[in-house]
Amino acid sequence: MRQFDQEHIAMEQFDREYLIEELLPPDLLDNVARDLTAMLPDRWALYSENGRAYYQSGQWQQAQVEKSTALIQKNRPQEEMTIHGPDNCRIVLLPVEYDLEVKGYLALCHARPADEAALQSSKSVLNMFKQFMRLKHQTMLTSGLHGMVVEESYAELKSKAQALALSEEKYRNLSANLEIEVQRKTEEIHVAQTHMMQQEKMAAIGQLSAGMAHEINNPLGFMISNLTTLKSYAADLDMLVQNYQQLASLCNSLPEVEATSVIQSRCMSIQEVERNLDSAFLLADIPVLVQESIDGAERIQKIVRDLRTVARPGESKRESINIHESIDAVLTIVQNRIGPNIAIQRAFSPVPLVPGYPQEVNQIWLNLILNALDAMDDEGILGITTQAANHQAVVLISDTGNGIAPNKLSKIFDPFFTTKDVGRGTGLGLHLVYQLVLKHGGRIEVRSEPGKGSAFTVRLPTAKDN
Amino acid sequence: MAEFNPQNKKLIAKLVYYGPALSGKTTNLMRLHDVLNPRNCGEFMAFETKGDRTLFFDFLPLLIKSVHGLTIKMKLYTVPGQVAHDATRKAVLSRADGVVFVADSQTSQAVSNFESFDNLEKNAGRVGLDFNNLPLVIQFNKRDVKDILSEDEIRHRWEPAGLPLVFGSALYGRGVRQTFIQALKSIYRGLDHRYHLASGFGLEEKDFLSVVPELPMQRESA
Repeated sequence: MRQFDQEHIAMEQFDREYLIEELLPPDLLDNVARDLTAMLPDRWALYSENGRAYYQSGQWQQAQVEKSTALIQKNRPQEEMTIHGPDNCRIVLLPVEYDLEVKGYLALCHARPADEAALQSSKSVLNMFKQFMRLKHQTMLTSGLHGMVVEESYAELKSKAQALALSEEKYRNLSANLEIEVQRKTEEIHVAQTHMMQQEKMAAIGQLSAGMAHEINNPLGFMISNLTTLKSYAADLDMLVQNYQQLASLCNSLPEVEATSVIQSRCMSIQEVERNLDSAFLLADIPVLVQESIDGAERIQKIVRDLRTVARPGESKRESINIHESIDAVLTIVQNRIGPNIAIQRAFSPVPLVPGYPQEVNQIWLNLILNALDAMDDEGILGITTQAANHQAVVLISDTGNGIAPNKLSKIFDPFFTTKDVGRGTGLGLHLVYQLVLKHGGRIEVRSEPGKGSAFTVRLPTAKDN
Repeated sequence: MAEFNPQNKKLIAKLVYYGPALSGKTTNLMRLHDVLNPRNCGEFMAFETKGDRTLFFDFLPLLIKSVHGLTIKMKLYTVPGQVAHDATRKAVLSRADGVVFVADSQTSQAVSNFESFDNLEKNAGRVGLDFNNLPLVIQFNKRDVKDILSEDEIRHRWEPAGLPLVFGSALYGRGVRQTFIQALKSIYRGLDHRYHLASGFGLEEKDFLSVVPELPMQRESA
């Protein structure tokens, strides 16, 4: 503003004094000169306040002009004056008044004394000049003021534009930095989220490990018991075999006469031993125990194999996945979490192989099945249906649990959204499922009715050549 | 700022009528034009828009010829009161030698008066006028209408400023002359201080005031 004020004051003021040369400019006089010849003598001129002849009409002699100038400069006449000039001519000087002041002079050169009519018409011309001057004055006042106002408005606009440019630059810098800052924060969040997702995976598997230990411990228990029993059976059978070996050697060494009675008594005592051992039960029990142990070992073998299938630590190779094997492996892993009152309805239709990362696909089923079990509180039906449709493997996992309120349905795939108690759910389970399904080019849908249960439909694209 | 040229014995000064919109600034000038001697009075020039609102300014030149041969040209201007014309107001105010602040007595206009006065102070600063030493007269106009602030109330609020305070009704010519006389006195004091008009040129306050005729006293009291 300060800078502008200085500009403003330096400007020409509209309300200054105007000279007759400005109020009755030569170009205006040129336009009316021809019309004035009827009212004025042939020679007429206009003099400024200080005696300069700034407009001449007709042939003036230098001497006549100079004489008028000298008179004006000397007397500054306020009334009409007549000068007797050279060549017998009379010069009449009429003051041109404007706003009570003499602004200049109209000089008329008469060849002979002017009559009344000539005087009257020159007065009319003076009056006309006055009107011209008023109009010109008004125009100059208003246009001068307008100029100042425009100048000021322009300067104000300029300073406003400058201020705007400054603030725009500030915001541009800010927004540029903001973008970098947002990028940085986004990366931070992404890293944190990836980390949490990994933790979520580990948590799901970790949650299972306690149950898994029990699953493995159970068959191990009866296998050890069976093996201990078999060990004592082996000792008994060893003793019996020794008895039979002694009998055989007796048969070979004894004379025939004595042999029969000795062998008979010996057989009797062996039979006595066999009775004591209950060898018949023992022999029948051995295959049972062995078979049981083999079964137990096989159960452990399966659990370990499935656990490896599901967890697959460190493996991330794209493979063709058999969806059914994948689901069954997960079911084995969660076996201990399935209470006695939970029924599993498993309806598998042939489904083509799905290209993907096995561990991640397993994780999808694992999280969905664990969620379904959590929703049911130890009683209900866990439904798992598969079918092939339109180059997709469609897996429907349903439960008859609590269901999800409609207003929460749209949020369940959001990260950190959970309805579980604090400490139980991370809010990442379904988000992880959503991310993994997306990564495999698939889609996930959910239908739910509070109090009746939920159903998640996962569609994964099958290999193109299927 | 006044122009004083001792050579051609001419002093040119500027008095600006300031104030809120429709407070009667133009009316003041018109009534003044009516009462002044045509010998002293140039033509009244008004630039009006529709509804008598001043667009640019009004202009009235006065000429005072002192016995000592000094000519005083007093240019009277009004500013447009409407808030939007601030740039015009500023331009007209620049180089003023005195200001008459025409306030509107109506209670509803109390805020406009203060805003306009505040605007005057700001603009004076912007055009480089020393507001504290600027010859200034306050006129409370429209004493003839209803719902106006009482004189006591106005005195209570404005007298602490120590400025001449005149109550008027410009539409009926009341207070116009008195306001103008107060303004001339203030301006004379300022110019005398600067140009030593009395001691150097024998120009006294009464010469200044001679432009205001005694005659219209009857109109004043009418």
